[in-house]
Amino acid sequence: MARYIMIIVLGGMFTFGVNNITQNSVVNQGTKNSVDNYSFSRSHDIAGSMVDIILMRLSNDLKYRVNSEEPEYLYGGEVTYSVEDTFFENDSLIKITVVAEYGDATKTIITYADKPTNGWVPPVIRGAWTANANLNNTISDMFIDGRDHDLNLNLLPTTGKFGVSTSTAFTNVENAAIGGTNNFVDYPMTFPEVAEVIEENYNWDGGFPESPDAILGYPEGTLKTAALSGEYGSQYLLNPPLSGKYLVGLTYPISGVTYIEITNGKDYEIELQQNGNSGILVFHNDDRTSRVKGVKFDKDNSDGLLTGLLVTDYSFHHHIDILGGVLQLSPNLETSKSCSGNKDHWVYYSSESISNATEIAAQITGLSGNVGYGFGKKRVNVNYVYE
Amino acid sequence: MSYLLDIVGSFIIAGMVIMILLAVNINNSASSSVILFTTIEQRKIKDLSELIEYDLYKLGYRIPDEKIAIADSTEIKFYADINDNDLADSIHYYLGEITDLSSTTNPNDRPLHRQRNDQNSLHSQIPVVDFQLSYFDSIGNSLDYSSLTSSAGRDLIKSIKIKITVESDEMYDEKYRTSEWKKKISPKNLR
Repeated sequence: MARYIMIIVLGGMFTFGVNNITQNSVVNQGTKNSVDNYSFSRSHDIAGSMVDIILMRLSNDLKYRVNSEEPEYLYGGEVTYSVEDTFFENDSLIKITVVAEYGDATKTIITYADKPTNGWVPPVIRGAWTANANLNNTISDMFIDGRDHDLNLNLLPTTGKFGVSTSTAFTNVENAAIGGTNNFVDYPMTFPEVAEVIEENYNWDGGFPESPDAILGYPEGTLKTAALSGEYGSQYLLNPPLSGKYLVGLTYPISGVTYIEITNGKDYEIELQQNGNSGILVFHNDDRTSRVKGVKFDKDNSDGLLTGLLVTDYSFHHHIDILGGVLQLSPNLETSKSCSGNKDHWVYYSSESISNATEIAAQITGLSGNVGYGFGKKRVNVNYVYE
Repeated sequence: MSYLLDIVGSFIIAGMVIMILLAVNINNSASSSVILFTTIEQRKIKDLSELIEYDLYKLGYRIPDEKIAIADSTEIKFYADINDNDLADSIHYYLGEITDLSSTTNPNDRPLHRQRNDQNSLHSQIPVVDFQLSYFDSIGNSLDYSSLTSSAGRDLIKSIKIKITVESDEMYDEKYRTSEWKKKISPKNLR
Protein backbone atom coordinates (compact mmCIF):
# COMPACT_ATOMS: atom_id res chain seq x y z
CA MET A 1 0.00 0.00 0.00
CA ALA A 2 2.77 2.35 1.02
CA ARG A 3 4.38 1.64 -2.32
CA TYR A 4 1.28 2.86 -4.15
CA ILE A 5 1.08 5.99 -2.05
CA MET A 6 4.74 6.66 -2.76
CA ILE A 7 4.07 6.28 -6.48
CA ILE A 8 1.16 8.73 -6.31
CA VAL A 9 3.15 11.23 -4.28
CA LEU A 10 6.21 10.96 -6.52
CA GLY A 11 4.00 11.18 -9.62
CA GLY A 12 2.33 14.27 -8.22
CA MET A 13 5.68 15.83 -7.48
CA PHE A 14 6.90 14.99 -10.96
CA THR A 15 3.79 16.57 -12.50
CA PHE A 16 4.31 19.61 -10.29
CA GLY A 17 7.92 19.83 -11.43
CA VAL A 18 7.01 19.58 -15.10
CA ASN A 19 4.31 22.21 -14.64
CA ASN A 20 6.77 24.47 -12.89
CA ILE A 21 9.34 24.15 -15.62
CA THR A 22 6.71 24.88 -18.28
CA GLN A 23 5.41 27.82 -16.31
CA ASN A 24 8.93 29.18 -15.86
CA SER A 25 9.53 28.88 -19.55
CA VAL A 26 6.34 30.75 -20.35
CA VAL A 27 7.08 33.42 -17.76
CA ASN A 28 10.57 33.76 -19.21
CA GLN A 29 9.04 34.24 -22.66
CA GLY A 30 6.70 36.87 -21.25
CA THR A 31 9.61 38.63 -19.59
CA LYS A 32 11.57 38.42 -22.84
CA ASN A 33 8.63 40.02 -24.67
CA SER A 34 8.70 42.89 -22.22
CA VAL A 35 12.46 43.23 -22.35
CA ASP A 36 12.42 43.10 -26.15
CA ASN A 37 9.73 45.75 -26.28
CA TYR A 38 11.62 47.94 -23.83
CA SER A 39 14.88 47.47 -25.73
CA PHE A 40 13.13 48.30 -28.99
CA SER A 41 11.76 51.54 -27.59
CA ARG A 42 15.00 52.36 -25.84
CA SER A 43 17.13 51.85 -28.94
CA HIS A 44 14.74 54.10 -30.86
CA ASP A 45 14.97 56.79 -28.18
CA ILE A 46 18.76 56.55 -28.07
CA ALA A 47 19.04 56.81 -31.85
CA GLY A 48 16.68 59.81 -31.90
CA SER A 49 18.60 61.51 -29.11
CA MET A 50 21.89 60.97 -30.91
CA VAL A 51 20.45 62.56 -34.05
CA ASP A 52 19.41 65.58 -31.98
CA ILE A 53 22.86 65.78 -30.41
CA ILE A 54 24.50 65.68 -33.83
CA LEU A 55 22.16 68.39 -35.14
CA MET A 56 23.20 70.56 -32.21
CA ARG A 57 26.86 69.85 -32.91
CA LEU A 58 26.27 70.88 -36.51
CA SER A 59 24.60 74.09 -35.36
CA ASN A 60 27.58 74.93 -33.22
CA ASP A 61 30.16 74.01 -35.82
CA LEU A 62 29.07 74.24 -39.43
CA LYS A 63 32.11 72.28 -40.53
CA TYR A 64 31.37 69.33 -38.22
CA ARG A 65 31.59 66.07 -40.20
CA VAL A 66 32.32 62.46 -39.21
CA ASN A 67 33.10 60.61 -42.41
CA SER A 68 33.96 57.26 -40.84
CA GLU A 69 31.70 55.67 -38.25
CA GLU A 70 32.36 56.72 -34.68
CA PRO A 71 31.11 54.80 -31.63
CA GLU A 72 29.70 56.52 -28.57
CA TYR A 73 27.95 55.34 -25.42
CA LEU A 74 24.69 57.03 -24.72
CA TYR A 75 22.00 56.39 -22.10
CA GLY A 76 23.11 52.83 -21.45
CA GLY A 77 23.28 51.90 -25.11
CA GLU A 78 25.88 52.14 -27.82
CA VAL A 79 25.57 54.22 -30.95
CA THR A 80 27.68 54.44 -34.05
CA TYR A 81 27.21 57.46 -36.26
CA SER A 82 28.51 59.26 -39.28
CA VAL A 83 27.93 62.77 -40.61
CA GLU A 84 28.68 63.21 -44.29
CA ASP A 85 28.01 65.56 -47.15
CA THR A 86 25.77 63.94 -49.73
CA PHE A 87 23.59 64.65 -52.73
CA PHE A 88 20.03 63.52 -52.17
CA GLU A 89 16.74 64.35 -53.85
CA ASN A 90 18.52 66.81 -56.15
CA ASP A 91 19.91 68.72 -53.22
CA SER A 92 23.24 69.02 -51.53
CA LEU A 93 22.58 67.90 -47.96
CA ILE A 94 24.20 66.46 -44.86
CA LYS A 95 23.47 62.79 -44.20
CA ILE A 96 23.45 61.73 -40.56
CA THR A 97 23.41 57.98 -40.00
CA VAL A 98 22.89 56.73 -36.47
CA VAL A 99 22.73 53.08 -35.43
CA ALA A 100 21.75 52.53 -31.80
CA GLU A 101 21.98 49.25 -29.94
CA TYR A 102 20.33 48.51 -26.65
CA GLY A 103 20.13 44.94 -25.44
CA ASP A 104 19.31 42.83 -28.47
CA ALA A 105 17.54 45.66 -30.27
CA THR A 106 19.08 47.77 -33.02
CA LYS A 107 17.59 50.93 -34.48
CA THR A 108 18.89 52.88 -37.44
CA ILE A 109 17.86 56.45 -38.22
CA ILE A 110 19.03 58.25 -41.33
CA THR A 111 18.50 61.99 -41.35
CA TYR A 112 19.09 64.40 -44.19
CA ALA A 113 19.64 68.00 -43.11
CA ASP A 114 20.28 71.22 -44.97
CA LYS A 115 23.81 72.45 -44.90
CA PRO A 116 23.81 75.13 -42.24
CA THR A 117 25.47 77.52 -44.63
CA ASN A 118 22.26 77.71 -46.60
CA GLY A 119 20.78 81.15 -46.50
CA TRP A 120 17.89 82.24 -44.35
CA VAL A 121 15.64 85.18 -43.78
CA PRO A 122 16.46 86.74 -40.42
CA PRO A 123 13.30 86.77 -38.29
CA VAL A 124 13.73 90.47 -37.52
CA ILE A 125 12.84 91.20 -41.13
CA ARG A 126 9.12 91.53 -40.64
CA GLY A 127 8.34 93.53 -43.75
CA ALA A 128 9.69 94.62 -47.09
CA TRP A 129 10.72 97.65 -45.06
CA THR A 130 11.39 97.19 -41.35
CA ALA A 131 12.30 99.81 -38.77
CA ASN A 132 12.09 100.56 -35.10
CA ALA A 133 11.11 104.15 -35.82
CA ASN A 134 8.72 106.35 -37.72
CA LEU A 135 8.73 105.47 -41.42
CA ASN A 136 6.07 107.91 -42.62
CA ASN A 137 8.47 110.13 -44.55
CA THR A 138 11.20 107.64 -45.30
CA ILE A 139 9.22 105.35 -47.56
CA SER A 140 8.22 108.31 -49.71
CA ASP A 141 5.95 107.43 -52.61
CA MET A 142 7.66 104.21 -53.68
CA PHE A 143 6.07 100.92 -54.58
CA ILE A 144 6.54 98.65 -51.58
CA ASP A 145 5.46 95.05 -51.75
CA GLY A 146 5.84 92.60 -48.87
CA ARG A 147 4.60 89.72 -50.96
CA ASP A 148 7.33 87.20 -51.64
CA HIS A 149 9.08 87.32 -55.00
CA ASP A 150 11.59 85.08 -56.67
CA LEU A 151 14.64 86.48 -58.42
CA ASN A 152 12.62 86.92 -61.62
CA LEU A 153 10.03 89.02 -59.80
CA ASN A 154 7.45 86.23 -59.92
CA LEU A 155 5.14 86.20 -56.94
CA LEU A 156 5.47 83.34 -54.46
CA PRO A 157 2.06 83.05 -52.85
CA THR A 158 1.43 83.25 -49.07
CA THR A 159 5.07 83.31 -47.97
CA GLY A 160 5.54 87.05 -47.85
CA LYS A 161 5.78 89.65 -45.07
CA PHE A 162 4.18 92.94 -44.22
CA GLY A 163 4.77 95.76 -46.64
CA VAL A 164 5.91 98.02 -43.80
CA SER A 165 6.73 97.01 -40.24
CA THR A 166 7.36 99.79 -37.74
CA SER A 167 7.31 100.20 -33.99
CA THR A 168 5.45 103.51 -34.25
CA ALA A 169 2.15 104.56 -35.74
CA PHE A 170 2.24 104.73 -39.52
CA THR A 171 0.64 107.10 -41.98
CA ASN A 172 1.22 106.82 -45.66
CA VAL A 173 1.84 110.54 -46.13
CA GLU A 174 3.27 110.44 -49.63
CA ASN A 175 0.81 108.08 -51.26
CA ALA A 176 3.07 105.05 -51.61
CA ALA A 177 1.48 101.96 -53.10
CA ILE A 178 1.93 99.21 -50.51
CA GLY A 179 1.13 95.51 -50.64
CA GLY A 180 2.11 92.53 -48.57
CA THR A 181 1.17 89.26 -46.98
CA ASN A 182 -0.62 88.84 -43.70
CA ASN A 183 -1.63 85.51 -42.20
CA PHE A 184 -0.89 83.71 -45.49
CA VAL A 185 -3.11 86.08 -47.48
CA ASP A 186 -1.50 88.17 -50.22
CA TYR A 187 -2.59 91.75 -50.77
CA PRO A 188 -1.50 93.52 -53.95
CA MET A 189 0.02 96.98 -53.85
CA THR A 190 -2.60 99.70 -53.60
CA PHE A 191 -2.98 103.25 -52.47
CA PRO A 192 -4.55 103.65 -50.09
CA GLU A 193 -3.14 100.43 -48.80
CA VAL A 194 -5.19 97.87 -46.90
CA ALA A 195 -4.53 97.80 -43.18
CA GLU A 196 -3.41 94.18 -43.30
CA VAL A 197 -0.14 95.03 -45.07
CA ILE A 198 1.05 97.46 -42.39
CA GLU A 199 2.42 96.42 -39.06
CA GLU A 200 2.49 99.50 -36.86
CA ASN A 201 3.24 100.00 -33.17
CA TYR A 202 5.00 96.67 -33.12
CA ASN A 203 6.45 96.09 -29.68
CA TRP A 204 9.98 94.78 -30.08
CA ASP A 205 10.29 94.62 -26.31
CA GLY A 206 13.99 95.40 -26.54
CA GLY A 207 14.55 92.81 -29.23
CA PHE A 208 15.16 95.13 -32.14
CA PRO A 209 18.71 94.71 -33.44
CA GLU A 210 21.11 97.57 -32.84
CA SER A 211 23.72 96.47 -35.35
CA PRO A 212 23.93 94.68 -38.69
CA ASP A 213 25.47 91.69 -36.91
CA ALA A 214 22.51 91.50 -34.56
CA ILE A 215 20.17 91.28 -37.55
CA LEU A 216 21.87 88.05 -38.56
CA GLY A 217 22.47 86.86 -35.01
CA TYR A 218 26.23 87.18 -35.40
CA PRO A 219 28.75 88.19 -32.77
CA GLU A 220 29.62 91.87 -33.08
CA GLY A 221 32.27 92.55 -35.68
CA THR A 222 31.56 89.45 -37.75
CA LEU A 223 30.10 91.22 -40.78
CA LYS A 224 32.91 93.77 -40.79
CA THR A 225 35.44 90.94 -40.76
CA ALA A 226 33.51 89.24 -43.57
CA ALA A 227 33.59 92.45 -45.59
CA LEU A 228 37.33 92.84 -44.96
CA SER A 229 37.92 89.28 -46.17
CA GLY A 230 37.10 90.30 -49.71
CA GLU A 231 35.43 86.94 -50.32
CA TYR A 232 32.61 86.87 -52.85
CA GLY A 233 33.48 90.47 -53.77
CA SER A 234 32.98 91.77 -50.23
CA GLN A 235 34.27 95.25 -49.47
CA TYR A 236 34.83 97.39 -46.39
CA LEU A 237 35.23 101.15 -46.32
CA LEU A 238 35.76 103.39 -43.32
CA ASN A 239 34.74 107.01 -43.81
CA PRO A 240 35.26 106.83 -47.57
CA PRO A 241 36.09 110.00 -49.44
CA LEU A 242 33.42 111.90 -51.28
CA SER A 243 33.39 112.96 -54.87
CA GLY A 244 30.81 115.64 -54.86
CA LYS A 245 28.06 114.19 -52.75
CA TYR A 246 28.77 110.55 -53.59
CA LEU A 247 31.11 108.24 -51.79
CA VAL A 248 33.97 106.78 -53.79
CA GLY A 249 36.12 103.74 -53.31
CA LEU A 250 33.71 100.90 -54.01
CA THR A 251 34.22 98.46 -56.83
CA TYR A 252 31.04 97.75 -58.78
CA PRO A 253 28.97 95.76 -59.03
CA ILE A 254 28.92 95.22 -55.31
CA SER A 255 28.42 91.69 -53.99
CA GLY A 256 28.90 89.61 -50.87
CA VAL A 257 29.05 91.87 -47.82
CA THR A 258 29.58 95.56 -48.54
CA TYR A 259 30.17 97.31 -45.23
CA ILE A 260 30.60 101.07 -45.11
CA GLU A 261 31.38 102.41 -41.66
CA ILE A 262 30.79 106.13 -41.19
CA THR A 263 32.16 107.68 -38.03
CA ASN A 264 33.09 111.18 -39.24
CA GLY A 265 29.63 112.66 -38.93
CA LYS A 266 29.38 113.45 -42.63
CA ASP A 267 26.30 112.90 -44.73
CA TYR A 268 26.87 110.45 -47.57
CA GLU A 269 25.18 109.44 -50.74
CA ILE A 270 25.84 106.37 -52.80
CA GLU A 271 25.42 106.05 -56.53
CA LEU A 272 25.33 102.45 -57.71
CA GLN A 273 27.29 101.74 -60.86
CA GLN A 274 26.82 98.90 -63.33
CA ASN A 275 24.28 96.10 -63.23
CA GLY A 276 24.20 93.09 -60.92
CA ASN A 277 24.60 94.81 -57.55
CA SER A 278 23.78 92.28 -54.85
CA GLY A 279 24.40 91.03 -51.33
CA ILE A 280 24.22 92.82 -48.01
CA LEU A 281 24.85 96.54 -48.25
CA VAL A 282 25.51 98.13 -44.85
CA PHE A 283 25.92 101.74 -43.77
CA HIS A 284 26.52 101.88 -40.04
CA ASN A 285 28.41 103.07 -37.02
CA ASP A 286 28.30 101.86 -33.45
CA ASP A 287 26.03 104.74 -32.35
CA ARG A 288 23.61 104.14 -35.23
CA THR A 289 24.09 107.76 -36.28
CA SER A 290 25.48 107.33 -39.77
CA ARG A 291 23.46 109.23 -42.35
CA VAL A 292 22.91 108.33 -45.96
CA LYS A 293 21.02 111.13 -47.62
CA GLY A 294 20.64 109.41 -50.94
CA VAL A 295 20.69 105.88 -52.29
CA LYS A 296 20.84 106.35 -56.03
CA PHE A 297 22.24 104.88 -59.22
CA ASP A 298 24.01 106.07 -62.33
CA LYS A 299 21.28 106.00 -64.96
CA ASP A 300 23.85 105.89 -67.73
CA ASN A 301 25.42 102.57 -66.82
CA SER A 302 23.32 100.86 -64.16
CA ASP A 303 19.87 99.32 -63.94
CA GLY A 304 19.59 100.64 -60.39
CA LEU A 305 18.69 97.27 -58.91
CA LEU A 306 20.08 95.97 -55.64
CA THR A 307 19.32 92.30 -55.07
CA GLY A 308 19.67 91.54 -51.38
CA LEU A 309 19.43 93.43 -48.16
CA LEU A 310 19.96 97.13 -47.54
CA VAL A 311 20.86 97.92 -43.91
CA THR A 312 21.28 101.52 -42.85
CA ASP A 313 21.14 103.55 -39.66
CA TYR A 314 19.44 106.54 -41.26
CA SER A 315 18.83 106.77 -44.97
CA PHE A 316 16.56 108.85 -47.14
CA HIS A 317 15.92 109.44 -50.83
CA HIS A 318 15.92 105.82 -51.91
CA HIS A 319 16.05 106.14 -55.67
CA ILE A 320 16.90 102.56 -56.56
CA ASP A 321 14.96 99.32 -56.84
CA ILE A 322 15.51 96.72 -54.15
CA LEU A 323 14.60 93.08 -54.51
CA GLY A 324 14.97 91.67 -51.00
CA GLY A 325 14.36 94.03 -48.13
CA VAL A 326 15.32 97.16 -46.24
CA LEU A 327 16.03 97.37 -42.54
CA GLN A 328 16.87 100.61 -40.76
CA LEU A 329 18.55 100.57 -37.37
CA SER A 330 18.31 104.16 -36.13
CA PRO A 331 15.48 105.10 -33.78
CA ASN A 332 15.49 108.56 -35.41
CA LEU A 333 14.50 108.40 -39.05
CA GLU A 334 13.37 111.28 -41.20
CA THR A 335 10.20 112.91 -39.89
CA SER A 336 10.09 116.30 -41.61
CA LYS A 337 11.47 116.17 -45.16
CA SER A 338 9.56 114.69 -48.03
CA CYS A 339 10.89 112.72 -50.94
CA SER A 340 8.29 112.86 -53.63
CA GLY A 341 9.26 112.00 -57.17
CA ASN A 342 10.26 108.47 -56.27
CA LYS A 343 7.26 106.85 -57.86
CA ASP A 344 9.40 105.00 -60.37
CA HIS A 345 11.20 102.84 -57.82
CA TRP A 346 10.24 99.91 -55.71
CA VAL A 347 11.15 97.64 -52.83
CA TYR A 348 9.89 94.07 -53.27
CA TYR A 349 10.38 91.55 -50.51
CA SER A 350 12.18 88.43 -51.72
CA SER A 351 13.05 85.59 -49.39
CA GLU A 352 15.16 84.05 -52.15
CA SER A 353 17.18 87.22 -52.61
CA ILE A 354 17.72 87.67 -48.86
CA SER A 355 18.60 83.99 -48.46
CA ASN A 356 21.17 84.29 -51.23
CA ALA A 357 22.71 87.26 -49.44
CA THR A 358 22.79 85.57 -46.03
CA GLU A 359 24.09 82.36 -47.55
CA ILE A 360 27.18 84.18 -48.75
CA ALA A 361 27.58 85.71 -45.30
CA ALA A 362 27.29 82.24 -43.79
CA GLN A 363 29.84 80.81 -46.18
CA ILE A 364 32.32 83.55 -45.42
CA THR A 365 31.82 83.49 -41.66
CA GLY A 366 30.91 79.85 -41.08
CA LEU A 367 27.97 81.06 -39.00
CA SER A 368 24.44 80.18 -39.87
CA GLY A 369 22.67 82.92 -37.99
CA ASN A 370 20.33 83.36 -35.13
CA VAL A 371 17.39 81.32 -36.29
CA GLY A 372 15.05 79.05 -34.39
CA TYR A 373 16.07 77.24 -31.24
CA GLY A 374 18.82 75.07 -29.89
CA PHE A 375 22.31 75.80 -28.67
CA GLY A 376 23.22 79.29 -29.81
CA LYS A 377 19.62 79.63 -31.00
CA LYS A 378 20.68 78.24 -34.32
CA ARG A 379 18.85 75.53 -36.10
CA VAL A 380 19.73 73.05 -38.77
CA ASN A 381 16.81 72.39 -41.03
CA VAL A 382 15.94 68.70 -41.33
CA ASN A 383 14.54 67.66 -44.70
CA TYR A 384 14.04 63.89 -44.51
CA VAL A 385 14.10 61.32 -41.72
CA TYR A 386 14.13 57.60 -42.34
CA GLU A 387 13.55 55.78 -39.09
CA MET B 1 -4.77 -2.09 17.75
CA SER B 2 -1.89 0.30 17.42
CA TYR B 3 -1.09 -1.36 14.11
CA LEU B 4 -4.58 -0.55 12.86
CA LEU B 5 -4.27 3.06 14.04
CA ASP B 6 -0.98 3.37 12.18
CA ILE B 7 -2.61 2.18 8.98
CA VAL B 8 -5.62 4.48 9.34
CA GLY B 9 -3.38 7.42 10.25
CA SER B 10 -1.13 6.72 7.30
CA PHE B 11 -4.14 6.63 4.98
CA ILE B 12 -5.42 9.94 6.28
CA ILE B 13 -2.02 11.63 5.99
CA ALA B 14 -1.35 10.10 2.58
CA GLY B 15 -4.80 11.20 1.44
CA MET B 16 -4.13 14.75 2.60
CA VAL B 17 -0.74 14.81 0.87
CA ILE B 18 -2.32 13.51 -2.33
CA MET B 19 -5.13 16.07 -2.13
CA ILE B 20 -2.63 18.90 -1.54
CA LEU B 21 -0.52 17.73 -4.46
CA LEU B 22 -3.58 17.50 -6.69
CA ALA B 23 -4.75 20.99 -5.69
CA VAL B 24 -1.30 22.46 -6.24
CA ASN B 25 -1.03 20.77 -9.61
CA ILE B 26 -4.48 21.92 -10.70
CA ASN B 27 -3.77 25.51 -9.64
CA ASN B 28 -0.36 25.38 -11.23
CA SER B 29 -1.80 24.11 -14.50
CA ALA B 30 -4.47 26.78 -14.47
CA SER B 31 -2.04 29.61 -13.88
CA SER B 32 0.34 28.16 -16.47
CA SER B 33 -2.43 28.25 -19.02
CA VAL B 34 -3.38 31.81 -18.13
CA ILE B 35 0.23 32.94 -18.38
CA LEU B 36 0.64 31.06 -21.63
CA PHE B 37 -2.41 32.68 -23.22
CA THR B 38 -1.42 36.11 -21.94
CA THR B 39 2.12 35.69 -23.19
CA ILE B 40 0.86 34.68 -26.61
CA GLU B 41 -1.28 37.83 -26.74
CA GLN B 42 1.66 39.92 -25.56
CA ARG B 43 3.78 38.47 -28.31
CA LYS B 44 1.09 39.20 -30.88
CA ILE B 45 0.71 42.79 -29.80
CA LYS B 46 4.46 43.30 -29.60
CA ASP B 47 4.93 42.10 -33.17
CA LEU B 48 1.99 44.19 -34.33
CA SER B 49 3.22 47.31 -32.55
CA GLU B 50 6.66 46.91 -34.10
CA LEU B 51 5.08 46.67 -37.54
CA ILE B 52 2.92 49.73 -37.01
CA GLU B 53 5.82 51.72 -35.60
CA TYR B 54 8.01 50.66 -38.52
CA ASP B 55 5.41 52.01 -40.94
CA LEU B 56 4.23 55.10 -39.13
CA TYR B 57 7.65 56.52 -38.31
CA LYS B 58 8.31 56.59 -42.05
CA LEU B 59 5.08 58.39 -42.87
CA GLY B 60 5.78 61.08 -45.45
CA TYR B 61 9.38 60.08 -46.08
CA ARG B 62 10.37 61.43 -49.51
CA ILE B 63 6.79 62.37 -50.29
CA PRO B 64 6.66 65.97 -51.48
CA ASP B 65 2.91 66.33 -51.76
CA GLU B 66 -0.03 64.79 -49.95
CA LYS B 67 1.28 62.49 -47.24
CA ILE B 68 -1.95 61.22 -45.71
CA ALA B 69 -4.82 60.18 -47.95
CA ILE B 70 -7.27 58.84 -45.33
CA ALA B 71 -7.38 59.63 -41.63
CA ASP B 72 -10.28 58.21 -39.70
CA SER B 73 -10.92 56.59 -36.34
CA THR B 74 -10.23 53.06 -37.53
CA GLU B 75 -8.50 53.67 -40.82
CA ILE B 76 -5.41 55.41 -42.10
CA LYS B 77 -3.84 55.48 -45.52
CA PHE B 78 -0.56 57.26 -46.01
CA TYR B 79 2.39 57.51 -48.33
CA ALA B 80 6.06 56.91 -47.64
CA ASP B 81 9.11 55.53 -49.33
CA ILE B 82 9.06 52.53 -47.01
CA ASN B 83 12.06 50.77 -48.51
CA ASP B 84 14.10 53.92 -49.17
CA ASN B 85 14.31 52.96 -52.83
CA ASP B 86 13.07 56.24 -54.31
CA LEU B 87 9.61 54.75 -54.92
CA ALA B 88 6.59 56.05 -53.08
CA ASP B 89 4.53 53.37 -51.33
CA SER B 90 1.05 53.59 -49.93
CA ILE B 91 0.24 51.88 -46.66
CA HIS B 92 -3.37 51.33 -45.75
CA TYR B 93 -4.49 50.14 -42.32
CA TYR B 94 -8.17 49.55 -41.80
CA LEU B 95 -10.35 47.59 -39.44
CA GLY B 96 -12.53 44.86 -40.90
CA GLU B 97 -15.87 43.55 -39.70
CA ILE B 98 -16.41 40.99 -36.94
CA THR B 99 -18.02 38.71 -39.48
CA ASP B 100 -14.81 38.76 -41.51
CA LEU B 101 -13.11 36.64 -38.87
CA SER B 102 -15.20 33.56 -38.19
CA SER B 103 -12.37 31.08 -37.81
CA THR B 104 -11.97 31.80 -34.10
CA THR B 105 -14.43 31.31 -31.28
CA ASN B 106 -13.86 34.85 -30.03
CA PRO B 107 -16.97 36.81 -31.01
CA ASN B 108 -15.20 40.19 -30.65
CA ASP B 109 -12.15 39.81 -32.85
CA ARG B 110 -11.94 41.23 -36.34
CA PRO B 111 -9.16 41.60 -38.86
CA LEU B 112 -6.87 44.61 -38.94
CA HIS B 113 -5.91 44.90 -42.58
CA ARG B 114 -2.59 46.20 -43.78
CA GLN B 115 -2.37 46.70 -47.49
CA ARG B 116 0.66 48.02 -49.29
CA ASN B 117 0.38 49.81 -52.62
CA ASP B 118 -3.24 48.65 -52.92
CA GLN B 119 -1.98 45.24 -53.98
CA ASN B 120 -3.70 42.08 -52.81
CA SER B 121 -0.38 40.25 -52.84
CA LEU B 122 0.91 42.73 -50.27
CA HIS B 123 -2.13 42.43 -48.06
CA SER B 124 -2.02 40.99 -44.57
CA GLN B 125 -4.53 40.83 -41.76
CA ILE B 126 -4.03 40.55 -38.03
CA PRO B 127 -6.79 39.63 -35.57
CA VAL B 128 -7.56 42.40 -33.09
CA VAL B 129 -10.60 43.39 -31.08
CA ASP B 130 -9.96 47.13 -31.20
CA PHE B 131 -7.94 49.53 -33.34
CA GLN B 132 -8.40 53.21 -32.63
CA LEU B 133 -6.60 56.16 -34.16
CA SER B 134 -6.68 59.77 -33.03
CA TYR B 135 -4.86 62.70 -34.57
CA PHE B 136 -3.21 65.80 -33.17
CA ASP B 137 -1.89 69.07 -34.60
CA SER B 138 1.49 70.67 -33.93
CA ILE B 139 0.52 71.99 -30.51
CA GLY B 140 -1.13 68.78 -29.43
CA ASN B 141 -4.76 69.69 -30.00
CA SER B 142 -6.93 66.75 -30.93
CA LEU B 143 -8.27 67.02 -34.47
CA ASP B 144 -11.89 66.23 -35.11
CA TYR B 145 -12.42 63.40 -37.58
CA SER B 146 -14.84 65.53 -39.58
CA SER B 147 -12.04 68.03 -40.25
CA LEU B 148 -9.83 65.31 -41.70
CA THR B 149 -11.92 64.64 -44.74
CA SER B 150 -10.13 67.41 -46.63
CA SER B 151 -6.51 67.43 -47.65
CA ALA B 152 -5.99 70.78 -45.89
CA GLY B 153 -7.36 69.27 -42.68
CA ARG B 154 -5.07 66.26 -42.90
CA ASP B 155 -2.10 68.57 -43.48
CA LEU B 156 -2.54 69.68 -39.87
CA ILE B 157 -1.80 66.21 -38.54
CA LYS B 158 1.54 66.09 -36.75
CA SER B 159 0.99 63.24 -34.29
CA ILE B 160 -1.05 60.06 -34.32
CA LYS B 161 -2.18 58.13 -31.28
CA ILE B 162 -2.79 54.43 -31.73
CA LYS B 163 -4.62 52.10 -29.42
CA ILE B 164 -4.78 48.39 -30.15
CA THR B 165 -6.39 45.64 -28.14
CA VAL B 166 -5.98 41.96 -28.90
CA GLU B 167 -7.69 38.97 -27.29
CA SER B 168 -6.98 35.30 -27.39
CA ASP B 169 -8.67 33.33 -30.15
CA GLU B 170 -10.09 30.83 -27.70
CA MET B 171 -11.69 31.23 -24.30
CA TYR B 172 -9.96 29.90 -21.20
CA ASP B 173 -11.63 29.79 -17.84
CA GLU B 174 -14.59 31.60 -19.38
CA LYS B 175 -12.43 34.57 -20.30
CA TYR B 176 -10.55 35.80 -23.34
CA ARG B 177 -7.05 36.92 -22.45
CA THR B 178 -6.42 40.57 -23.37
CA SER B 179 -3.41 42.71 -24.22
CA GLU B 180 -3.48 46.40 -25.02
CA TRP B 181 -0.94 48.77 -26.61
CA LYS B 182 -1.09 52.55 -26.85
CA LYS B 183 1.40 54.95 -28.34
CA LYS B 184 1.51 58.48 -29.71
CA ILE B 185 3.80 58.71 -32.69
CA SER B 186 5.05 61.95 -34.23
CA PRO B 187 6.44 61.10 -37.67
CA LYS B 188 9.31 63.51 -38.29
CA ASN B 189 8.50 63.86 -41.96
CA LEU B 190 5.17 65.46 -41.06
CA ARG B 191 6.44 68.98 -40.71
